[in-house]
Amino acid sequence: MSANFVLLLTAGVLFACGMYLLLDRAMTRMLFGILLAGNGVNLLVLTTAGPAGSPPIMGRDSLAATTSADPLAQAMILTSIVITMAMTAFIAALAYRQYRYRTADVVADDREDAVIAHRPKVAAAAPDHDASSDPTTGRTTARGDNFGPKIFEAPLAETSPDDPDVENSDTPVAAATTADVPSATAPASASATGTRTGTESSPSKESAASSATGATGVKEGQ
Amino acid sequence: MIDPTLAAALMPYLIALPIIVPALGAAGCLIAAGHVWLSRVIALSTLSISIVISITMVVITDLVGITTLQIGGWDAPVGITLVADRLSTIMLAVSSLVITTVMWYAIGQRARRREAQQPNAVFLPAYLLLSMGVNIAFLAGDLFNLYVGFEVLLVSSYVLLTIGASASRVRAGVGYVMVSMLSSLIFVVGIGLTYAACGTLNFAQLSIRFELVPAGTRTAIFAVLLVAFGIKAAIFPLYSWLPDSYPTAPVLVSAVFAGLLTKVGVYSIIRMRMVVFTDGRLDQVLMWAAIFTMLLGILGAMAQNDIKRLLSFTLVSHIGYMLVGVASATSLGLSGAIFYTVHHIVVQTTLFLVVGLIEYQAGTSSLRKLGSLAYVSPMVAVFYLIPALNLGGIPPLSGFLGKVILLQALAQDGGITSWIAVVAAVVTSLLTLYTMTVVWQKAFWRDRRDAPDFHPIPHPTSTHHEILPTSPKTGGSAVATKTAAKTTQKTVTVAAHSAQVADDDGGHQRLRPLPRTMIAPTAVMVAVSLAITVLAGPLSAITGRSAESAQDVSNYRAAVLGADYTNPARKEDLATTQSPSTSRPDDKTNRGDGIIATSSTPTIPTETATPSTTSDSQSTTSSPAQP
Repeated sequence: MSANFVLLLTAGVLFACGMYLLLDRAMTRMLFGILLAGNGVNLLVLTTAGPAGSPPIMGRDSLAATTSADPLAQAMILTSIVITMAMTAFIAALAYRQYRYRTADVVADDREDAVIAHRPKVAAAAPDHDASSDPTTGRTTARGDNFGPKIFEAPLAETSPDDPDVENSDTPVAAATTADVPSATAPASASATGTRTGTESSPSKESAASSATGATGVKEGQ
Repeated sequence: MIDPTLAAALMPYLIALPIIVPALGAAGCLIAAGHVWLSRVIALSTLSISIVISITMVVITDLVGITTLQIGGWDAPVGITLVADRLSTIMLAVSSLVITTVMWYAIGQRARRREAQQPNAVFLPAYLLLSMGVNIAFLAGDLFNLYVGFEVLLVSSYVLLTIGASASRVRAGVGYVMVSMLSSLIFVVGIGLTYAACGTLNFAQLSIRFELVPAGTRTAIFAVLLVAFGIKAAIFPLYSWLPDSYPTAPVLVSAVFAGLLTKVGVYSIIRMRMVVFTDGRLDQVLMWAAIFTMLLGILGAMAQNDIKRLLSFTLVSHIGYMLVGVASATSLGLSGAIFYTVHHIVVQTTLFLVVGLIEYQAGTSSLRKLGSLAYVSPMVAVFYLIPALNLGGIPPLSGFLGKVILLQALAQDGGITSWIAVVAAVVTSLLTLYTMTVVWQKAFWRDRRDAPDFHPIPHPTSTHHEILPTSPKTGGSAVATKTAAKTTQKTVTVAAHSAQVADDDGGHQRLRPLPRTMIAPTAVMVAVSLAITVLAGPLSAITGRSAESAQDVSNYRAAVLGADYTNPARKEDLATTQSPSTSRPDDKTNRGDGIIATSSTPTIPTETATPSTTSDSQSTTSSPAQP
């Protein structure tokens, strides 16, 4: 089978341009990239159906050619076009949604990934660290728990002031009083609506980041 | 137990049902969208029916061999062919089991939470369509229907991944959608190249015609398709989208994605390698990709703070095991790959469901915040421990058995790469056990107040997760997240105090009680994972037979194209084969594992009673045909 070189070249150029646009961070450009590359791919499939001009009906001929064209390739392109159209609508909706969140067309970073990538290389920042363990060597200390049901009930042993993680969690407990408890639950439920303004997982990431910086010695202002 | 002739006569009617039933169910759910209970009943009954159908199909296919269905009565190379062989029916059965259980879990979670904000009307139809797409992909007998199946499941997965459209899900969704779209585009390129080279897309006919295509062209086309499937299966250079996107989805969605979507990619690679591209010129590439997938995946898992991300990385890592089996290209290796796929679908889904329970109860899935769970909810601890040990490959469990089969296959192969793969597999297994132990130790056995990012168990009145989309008027995103972080930090400390005080009078009762409707499906999944261990003998026998029959190309060709497929004038037959044939159903009974080309007379039922021996003889007869 001989193929039309111009069509193949066009398909290749379209695909290449699409890939270039897809590498961008802006969602509209990515969408255009998908569309361009999709057109290139459809053109490629079209060239597999043989030379142009043949009628796609058995037993009919045209001025250009006497053989019938292969209708299967065109059927596949139709399916592909329909799928691409639906996906375009979906991506456009997604882009609009993202624009509403970020007021920018640019895709956000994965923050959890960034936190892990920039994690300081100290034991206190490791995922398997305990608050009672030594923050630099990561060894367990006597302040840690001893694996047993009793210890779950008992409060944590007193903390040394040079342990930033424990201090972070301990200070507010000392500051607040027992009388605050009934009123404290109300802000807790109220601020559940407050967290809705942020990303869903932002609290965990924020505090993960803060503890990572806390381990390097930067104290967080409470 | 079942009469083979009856079974073979019944089978063509069953093949289309795993596709039709979820489609009808999705339509029913859309119609009944206003009535919550009605749509739930429709969804659950639909999926239960598909479980029954697919298990029946496994039994029948194991008895009578490959069965095909030509949709609309058009003959094989032209029309749409659905093929049910042992490999695809096993995958169908496991996937429908997983999908149904996760659906049960989803309904339980939703029924418990009285918030009506979750777009239930979208969730159930999208979920059922996902199941339909998976089933199409498993049953497809040609490349284009495989593509259509992929698209159906991908589009449903886009909807499910971005459900609720919160900011983090939109961010993750963008990456996921773009990468998946790209892989679909590459898939269509592969389809176009294949069609240009062979003029057909039917697997059986492709396998015949590709033998005439120059080896370089053939390998290049396989490479293109392998990139497309590799993105979907998340193998080595192409996996980075997965740990980025899966953890942000709702837990049950991650569970079903982790269980199924990557496995559809693995299934496609197995199918392509075994039926179409039988020369194995890319086996070394696959083997190295598998080695790096295993090692890099598990190294990534070790660095994670979040259990969901950790599990996503172990998912990537364990895809490598299946690929190793495929790349070894022996019958034993393939059998191990199929066994491991079945095991991994169940175990990985179970682990994600357990993480859902942990999140529901403790309000977080971060390793730096969890603790005390073994004391607080020992049942969840047991639910976690069994699949975790299973994933790590502790001896009596099915993960160990799967790995043993794979390692045996590699050792039999004996090449240098195979031994490197053996080492990588063992190291990965040990490191998996390490990550599972870290989770076990930190989340379950550590005192929660000893967690570095101290984070209390949320008060029952505060809804912690499933945070809904924000109103857009909050201005700049940076400001929004900053204020949110501040408020949450206050909340955390205040609630920390209340938890501390409550602890003094045994305040652990303040935990959110786990609803039975969430516990029961998890228990079922744990039981299924144990059942795989107990029934490992019969199951590995089935996977062994399915590996043999999947490798047996001539058998596949005969089943799809008819016994006279060796006729060299076949491609001139296009005009005659285009007429709809009416005698299809009668022929189909003869297309099990029967002898091809020589006898098309219905002597088959006696032969199909011993399918493994016939497929043995088949593979010996087919080997001279391969260069």
